[in-house]
This record gives sequence, structure tokens and C-alpha cells, in this order.
Amino acid sequence: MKLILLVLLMTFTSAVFADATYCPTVKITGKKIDFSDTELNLICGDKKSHAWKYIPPYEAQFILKGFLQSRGYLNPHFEVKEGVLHVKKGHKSTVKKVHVIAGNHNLEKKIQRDLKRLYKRRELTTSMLNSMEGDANGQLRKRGFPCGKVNSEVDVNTDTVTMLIRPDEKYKFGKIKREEIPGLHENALDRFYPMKDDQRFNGDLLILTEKRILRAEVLQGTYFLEKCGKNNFSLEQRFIVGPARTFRFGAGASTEVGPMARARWSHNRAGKMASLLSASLEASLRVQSLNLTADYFPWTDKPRQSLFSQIDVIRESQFKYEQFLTRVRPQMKWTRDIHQHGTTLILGPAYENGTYHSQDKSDTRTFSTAVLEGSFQRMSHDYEIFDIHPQEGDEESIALSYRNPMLGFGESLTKIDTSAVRLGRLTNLGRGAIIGGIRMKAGTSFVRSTADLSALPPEVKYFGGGSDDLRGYLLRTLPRNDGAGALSKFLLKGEIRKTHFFHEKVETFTFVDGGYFGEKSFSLESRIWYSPGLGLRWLSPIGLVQGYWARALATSPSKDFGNFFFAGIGGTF
Amino acid sequence: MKKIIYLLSGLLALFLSMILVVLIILFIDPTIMVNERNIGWALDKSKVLEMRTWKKFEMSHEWKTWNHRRLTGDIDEFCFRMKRNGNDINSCFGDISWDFDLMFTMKDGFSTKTWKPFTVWSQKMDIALGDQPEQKEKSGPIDIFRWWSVVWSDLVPDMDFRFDSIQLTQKKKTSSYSFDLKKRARDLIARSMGYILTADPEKFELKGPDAIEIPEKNESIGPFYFRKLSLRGKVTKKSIPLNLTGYLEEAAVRIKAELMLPLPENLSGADFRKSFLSTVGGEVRIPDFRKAFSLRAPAAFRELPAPLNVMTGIINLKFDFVPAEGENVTLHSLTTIDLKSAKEALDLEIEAGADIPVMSFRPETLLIGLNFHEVKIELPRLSKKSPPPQFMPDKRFKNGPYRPPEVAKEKPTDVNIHLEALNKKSLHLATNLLDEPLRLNFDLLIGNGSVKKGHVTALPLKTEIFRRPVHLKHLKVTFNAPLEPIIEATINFPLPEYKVTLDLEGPVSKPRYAFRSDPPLPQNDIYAVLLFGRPLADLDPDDKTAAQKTNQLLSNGILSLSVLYFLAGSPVEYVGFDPDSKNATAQFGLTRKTSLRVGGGQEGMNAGGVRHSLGKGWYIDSTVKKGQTPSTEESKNYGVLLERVMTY
Repeated sequence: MKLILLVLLMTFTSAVFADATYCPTVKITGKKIDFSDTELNLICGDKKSHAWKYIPPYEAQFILKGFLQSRGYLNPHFEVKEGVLHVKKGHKSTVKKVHVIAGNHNLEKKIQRDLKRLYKRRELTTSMLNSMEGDANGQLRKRGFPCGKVNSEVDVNTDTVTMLIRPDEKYKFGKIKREEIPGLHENALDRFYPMKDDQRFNGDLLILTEKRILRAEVLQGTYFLEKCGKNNFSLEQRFIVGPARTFRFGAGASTEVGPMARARWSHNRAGKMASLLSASLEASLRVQSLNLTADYFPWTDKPRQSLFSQIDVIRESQFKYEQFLTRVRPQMKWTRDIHQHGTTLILGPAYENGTYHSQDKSDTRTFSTAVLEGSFQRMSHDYEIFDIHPQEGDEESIALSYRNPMLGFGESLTKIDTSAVRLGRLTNLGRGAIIGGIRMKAGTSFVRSTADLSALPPEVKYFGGGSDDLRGYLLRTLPRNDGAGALSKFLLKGEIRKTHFFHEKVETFTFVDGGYFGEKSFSLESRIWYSPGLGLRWLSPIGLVQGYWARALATSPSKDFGNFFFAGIGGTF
Repeated sequence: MKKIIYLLSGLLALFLSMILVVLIILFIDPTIMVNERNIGWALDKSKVLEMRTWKKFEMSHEWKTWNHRRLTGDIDEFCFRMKRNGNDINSCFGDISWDFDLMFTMKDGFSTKTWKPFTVWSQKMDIALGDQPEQKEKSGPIDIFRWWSVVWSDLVPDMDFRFDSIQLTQKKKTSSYSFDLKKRARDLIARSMGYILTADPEKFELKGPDAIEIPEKNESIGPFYFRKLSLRGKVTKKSIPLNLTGYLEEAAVRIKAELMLPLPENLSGADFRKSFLSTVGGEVRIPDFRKAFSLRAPAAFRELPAPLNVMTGIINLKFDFVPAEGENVTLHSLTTIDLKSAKEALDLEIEAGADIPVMSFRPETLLIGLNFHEVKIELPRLSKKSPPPQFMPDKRFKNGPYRPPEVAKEKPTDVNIHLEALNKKSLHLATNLLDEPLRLNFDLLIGNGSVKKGHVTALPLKTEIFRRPVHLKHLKVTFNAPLEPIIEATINFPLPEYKVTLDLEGPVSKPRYAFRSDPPLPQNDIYAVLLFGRPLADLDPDDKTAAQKTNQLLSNGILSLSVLYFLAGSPVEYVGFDPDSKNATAQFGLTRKTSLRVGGGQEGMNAGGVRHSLGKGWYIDSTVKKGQTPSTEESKNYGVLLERVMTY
């Protein structure tokens, strides 16, 4: 028995404490490190390379030090004996203490708190140190210090990170010197800037400006150059312009529509003010359609005011029906950035005219209706800066539309839709944070009480269910799964997320969604449709991938509709 | 009064007469006055010497004519001790002897004719120097030429000097020397400590011992040795041009300088230093750099680091000084490095210049210019599958707690470096990641460790990345501190149907992408062409193409271009989702020009199609799509579309 124990002990100790020989010239004590082929070639020499065939021990030591640092071994001991490099790699370091020196108590406190939360007990490597410096610099830039310098030092004996911050002065954005774009008025891009010249610098707002320009596809790219001088700071913006117009056309045939031709044209930088215009035309034996869209900015002195118009002309000649539809939406749009929020106001009429002939009923219906529409959206810059999956900020919107028999609609109907979402960091937990989110949607179509619900078009009615709505139910299956819909809806969704769930791109979440519906205007039935659940999200390279489980429940009378599982790409809170 | 005047005049006449008599006696036979007894009496009385002894003291004088005498003398075993100004000299001379004729003519003045060289032989000479600094007496300019002329004048007889042992003690350190000198009418030879000085009236040469030790503070490096030292000089009335040659270890050294005559009184003064340094110039040539390095480096560093250790060749340094304003001289140096191996080359010039204060020798600014003629470096082989490792140790990791940096007492020298490589051969970096070497040009001004101004340009390059040909047409990084460096690059992707061009522009830390194509395509379709070789499109005019989503992802930096490019190597050409229509799309490559696309939504798979490129922007697209008519009857739609896509 003793012999077996001895053998086991020897095997164990030799495995743990024996030297790992990587090549005749390099030996490292302890557990073997999994070096890449490139790394091995650089410390042992590369027989396939003429110039790197032989690495002298002192060079191997120099290079190896970097490799070990990238794995958290910060205090190795090297010794060259008879041409062989012997390495004691030491212990793996983790961040034990973070000390911030900034000459500004508040700044030191805030940055130290954040860095400790994010990095304490994490493996201390060069890339980790870079991340810490990057985060500290990001904090400076958010707080109005564009010219701050961040450096760090690590005491490898105590694993203490000292972050040396020279914030420099606080600056305002100032007048941004923009590169001239041929053919565009100097104010043409004003609508994309969330900040004013005299506003305190915030690096995030530069990012947001860039994102707005790219999202609108007005230009192919833009970037800012920051110039820090002695007691002054200035910004310069340059653009990658690219072609503005796209044209595509095609001709073909399909079994549904027969021979067809299609053309699409778009201009993302039309006129002096970089207006957005597009047109598409499709012609087949069965369907002929024309769509014109314009976000036209005619006023050079009012760069955030536009004529937002859409015209659709559609003629369909199907086997069982024929229809001709004209939709016109000439509206005005204003945008503004105020109090760290971007706001959009759209007002104007919409007109729809059409004829519908059904073979079954052998009659021809003509309709002509005008709608007065208005919408207002207010979105915080914090919210807007996220591309796919916001983690903080707020958004509110209200939309109104008015239909009247005098304008051609069957009933006098006013539709009011409101929504609000607020996301915020509740606390920090581990490397991530606990995010709380609440979303409210409320809407009603105000119409006389005797109006026939089934006769109303779907766009004035409310439905529920789906991964973006009440998450325990299938898409648009509420309040009844017959397509009838409702005239009022109130939806309240709550969600708690834990970000950085084992991986920085993965989060777990739990939620409760609840909704009321009503078949009358401004009236909700007592029945609550609700669904608690939990799930997992992955911000993948191709978009948000999520899966969740929810229990579909309802009250009055209480009913359990069972489990609901969803897995798919996309979806929002 | 008259009597007093007569008395004084008489006394003066008597005194002058006596001096005249003495002079006449001395003229007729000086040995009457200058002899062993009188000299011994004078030395003893004057107490110039602490102690003196001699065994034999002979001096003789032979009258030949009134202006021609023969003087001989011989002093044997002459020992003395002298203490003065804290210095203590204790010496013994075995033999001091002379035998020469002294002549005088009105035309030539005094001259000598040597019958036997003036001989001085000392067995020992112990000199202990005191701690008190030597008081320098004020004197005028030092006229070396005059002294040199005196040495060769007819007045100076031939000489044989031999000092067998000179022990010099200063601050408790004793060093031993020997010295001998033979001087004849037209030549001179002197030897001491292995140095040999040979001279004639026009020139001289000082040859050094086999190895002259040059101490080095770094013990691991050890002292340097200077070999085959030869210092040649020509002595003219106006100057002494000097030429120093020799070998500093393996390096051949040649230095020239010129001492302007007469030398000033203060040799350590700024004027002399400036005028002398302004004449200094030279060359250091290392014929085999690798050998020199292996011989001279500390034991642990005998091999050059890779990739230099396979290279061998010459390093040559030329330098000179020219006068500058004030108490400065301007140093110019040119180092030529020409190292080669089978696959590598390091042919570059390093020019350095600095205005150097002649008193402190600490220049305020040092300008260094590197001119790359032909530099070919083989980079280490890197894996295509893993990111590059951390090549350099991170200096931020320190062995001790943080300490604020100490404020330098003296302003450190500003080092400004100008790097220049402006021809096609200037810098070639060979890497296994590219099919061709990366050829770089640059013109950079570096000040105090950071690039202040300039540019780095990559010359056109053709290679293949992830099985796709890539042509780097143009790449330039422009430095203009304090702005962040800006990159501008044009990369062509010559695909079978399209030539896609990627323009990179913006700060190096975050460059922005922009694509264009020939024939022209919308931005969204270019991504698809780049990734899959053809654009994505759909029969449904309202469908947002999958590539549009790719565009957003790319623009927003969520997905790096390299990841997409990597994906492009697989048969799965695309997987995407449109959150607006809730439709997912996947595309698979069938052949190089044909792809199969399938799509579906929450109801399941409902669309499929084959797209085929006809070239020049023309496509034929066939689809089958499950749809629902208004009467909710399920139907299938089969379609074909011929399409042309372009931008302008």
C-alpha cells in the first residue's frame, strides 16, 4: 500500500513540479503551458525559417517574458545554464488592488469603483491592463475630458494596479471643423448632431453622430479627429462620401404574377441638404405598383425640418379580386436634440383611395379616406447609441391618428398610441450588471360604442402576443385567435437582466409581461393576460439570438395555457 | 660730493672689472668655476636637494679656438632626493656623461658637434606626488614649433637617455614605467610603456603597445582594447596635422585632427577645444560585424538576436566636427550598415548631427536620420489560425510599488530622429501571411520617442487571404501630432464578376470602411459580393436583403470584416435575420457563380431560390415561395427574374 502511495505521490509531484521541456534550450517549471506554434517557434527557433532558426537564450527570455505576461505570469525567474534557459514562471496574477491617482477626488473615487467592480480578481495580463486603461479613458471622455491621459503600472509583487490619470482640462465641443462635401450645403448634416457647440464634451455623442449618419446611409463613413493643444481643444470631422444613387432593374416571370419588370432607384444625398429620395416601380400582368418616398429638406436655414412624404399607387388584378389603391402621406417632420434626448415630431394628413372588386360577391366597393396623423418620439442618447439591444436609457412616444366620415372613413375614429420604455442599471454584479427594464404600451381607438369591430380595418385595432409583445403567447393571437382584435390595449412588461453571464456577450433575463385588452374604446376588460418567464440572450455576430421559456396565464377566469418556448434570432424587450 | 662720485665710480669700475675677469677666466677655462667641488658646494648651500651623493664627478674643458671648445663630463652613481611642493623625488643615475664641441659663429650662432651622445642612465626614479594641486604659473601661448625647433637645433647634442624604473606614486597608487630616448641630429626615438615615438625634424609617429586597455564601467562587458595604435603628425610652423590609426577590438579606427600653433595658454579653455575639435574627423570600420559582436558582447550575449544572427557584413562610421555658433561645435556622423544573409539584407545609413557645447559635451538636441537603402527582413512565421502573440514584454509590470517619476536635474537631450525609406527596395518585410513581401516606404520625424510628423506607405501588394485574391493598391499612414495618425488605404478584391474596392480611412485606432465596385453596386450588395462573390437579391420588392443587415452590423462595428471574410471560406454563405419582417435567410454556394437561398419565418420554411450570375452586373434569379392569398388559400409562387444592379 505504501509503495502504491509512493508511486502515486511521485507521479503526481513529477506531473506538477517537473520541468516542462519545450525544446532542448528552454525548460519551464511546473504545469506545461500550451504555447501556440508561433510562440514555440519564437522561443525555440523555427527550423523552417532561415532567419529565425536559432534564438539565443537571452532573446528567448525576452520574448518569453511577453508570452508569460499574456497568460498572467508576471514575475518569472530566468536563468541560463549551459545554454539552456530555465524558467520558473511563478504564480498567476489576478487584480488584487486598484489604486487610482487623478488629482481629483471625485474622479478617482468613481473610476476606482468602476475598475474594481469590473476587474478585481480577473487575470492580470497586458490585454486586461489595456482594457482598464480604455475604460478609465472612456470615463474621462464621458465627463468632458477629451485630452486626458491614462497610464498604468502594476506592482507584480502585490498585484496592485495603479492607474495614473491626467485628466487635463474640461472642454466643450466647440465649433467642429467639417470637411466640405462637394454639392452639399454646410448645414446639410446638422440634423445628425446630437450636441451643440457650447455643450460639454462627451465622447459618446461623437459616436452617436457617426451612427446617425451611417444609419441614414447619407455617407459611407465619417470620423472625428481630436486635437489637444496647450489649453485648447478642437474637433475636425472628415467624411467618406461614396456614391449616392442606386439603380436596379430586372425583368422576369413567375407563376403568380406572370411576366414582370421591376426597377428601384434611391438617392441618399439629393440636393444641397442631402435629402433622401427613393422610388420603386413594379409591373406585371397581375400587379402594378409605384412607391415614392421622400424625406426632403428644402430649407437650408432649417436643416432639421423636412417634408416627409410617401406615395403608393398599387393595382392588383388577381383571380378572385381586383383592387386599385392610392396612398398619399404628405407630412412634415421636425427633429431636435434637447436635454440629452433626440426628439422627432411628424405631423400631417394621409390619404387613401381605392376600389375593390370581389368575384365572389360580384360587387365593387370604393373607398376614400383621409387621416390626420401625428407622432412624437423622444429617445435618450444613451438608448439611441445602442445598435441592437439597448441596455440603458429611455424612449417615449405618442402617436395620434384621426379618421372621420367627412374624410371618407366609415366611422369617426381617433387612435391614440403611447409607449414608454426605461432601462437602467440597478446594480453591478460580478463583471456585469443587473439591468432593470420596464416597458408600457397603451393604446385605444376611440370610436362610437356601436361600431362593428369586425368591420374596422386591422390597422386601427390591437392584437397581442409574440416575442416583442406578450412573450408567453404566439404572435397576434390575443385577445382572441380569430383576427378580430381589440379597440384598447394596455401592456406592461418588466424585465430583469444579468449581463455578462459567463461571457460578456451573453445575458440571462427573467420577465413578467401582462396585458389588458378591451373591445370598447378607453375600456379594458378585467381579464389579465400575463406570462412570467426566463431566458438567455446572445449578442451574436449576426444579431440578437434569444431563447426563453414562458408560462402563458390569464385571470378572470384564471387559466393556464401551458408552457411556451421560443428560440430565434431577433426580438426586443 | 665730487669725492663721493669718484669713490662710487671707482667701486663700480672695480666691480665691472672683477666680473670681466671672472668672465674671462670662465671663457678661458670654465672648469675653474664649474667643477665638482663648487657644484657640490652650491647644491648643499642652496638645499635644493635633500640629499645627494655621487661616486665620480668629472668635467673637462678643451680650448680649441676662441669660439670652439670641447666639453666632456662624466658623473657616476649620482643619487639625490628632492622634496618640493609636497612632491618627493628619490632618484639614482648610474651614468651621466657628455662629450661635444660647442661652437659659435656670428652667422649660425651657437652650435654643437657631438663626439659621444649626451648620456643619462637612471636605475631608479621614485616620484611621490603630493595632494596639493600643482600651481600653474602664468605663461604666454605655448609655441610648440619653437620648442620642436630647439630639439632639432644644432645646439642640442645627440642624446641617449635611459630610465630603467620610474615609480610614480599618487594618492597611494603606484605605477611603474621605464623610458628611454635616443636623439640624433635628424632623428629621435623614445620608448615608454610599450609606446614608441619616432621623429625627425618634420614629422613624428607614436606607436602604441600591442593592446591599450580602455576601461569600461560595465563589468559584464569588460575593458576594450585598442591595438596597433599609430599617431602620425607633421610639425609645421602653423599647425600639426595629426593622423591616428589603429583597431578598437575588431574595428579599424582612423581619426584626423590638426593642432593649430601656437597653442593657447589655457588648453582646457573653450577657444582651444572648439578650434581643435573643429579639425577632428574620422572613420570607424567594423569589417565583420557578427564576429566583432561575438567577440565583444558579454558571455551571455555572444550571439546576435534573430533575425540578425544569420547576417554578416560591414558597419562603417564616419564623423567630423565643424565650428558652430558660440562655444559649440557641430558633430556630423554617417554610419553605413551593410549586413546580408541569404534572404535578408540590412543596407542603411544613419546620419547624426548635434550642436555640442565644447565645455559640457551635453548636446541639447540630437538629430538622427535613418536612410534605408535596402532592408529585407524575414518576420517570424505566424499562424493563420491564431492571433499574433504578445511579442514584447509589457513595461508597465514592475517589481515594486508605484513611485512618482523623479524630476530630472538636467534637461535631457532631445533626440529627434528622421527615418527615411523612399525607394522601392527600401524596406521589404517577408511574412508567411502574405504571398509577396510587404514593401514599405516611410518618412518619419520622431521626437522624444513619439512620431511627430511623416508618413508610412505600403507599396502595391498582391496576395491571397482566405482563398480570395487581395491587391493592396495603396496604404498610407499619416502622422501629424498631436492628431491621431490617419490611415488611408485602397484594397482591391478582384473577384470573377466584380472588382470590389475597399477604402479604409480614419484614425488608426478605428479606421472606417467604405466599399465600391466595378461594375457599380449598392453598398449592401458589395458586402455580399465580397463575401460570397455575388450580390444577394430577392424577387420580393419589399424584402430587405440580408446583406443590408450585414451592412448595419459592419457599420456598427459589431462584426469585424475579418470574421465575415473568414466565414466566406465556408459553403454557408450567409445566415441572417431581418427583425422587421421576422424572416430568416440562409444562402449556400452551389458553384462559383450560383447560390441557393432558403428563407422562412415563424411559420417555417417558406421560400427558396437559385441565383446565378451572368456577369457584368446581370443576374438571373429563380424562386419558389409559399404564400397566402387574401382568401387564405395556400399557394406556391414560382418565379424567375433577370436583374441588373448598379450605383452611380
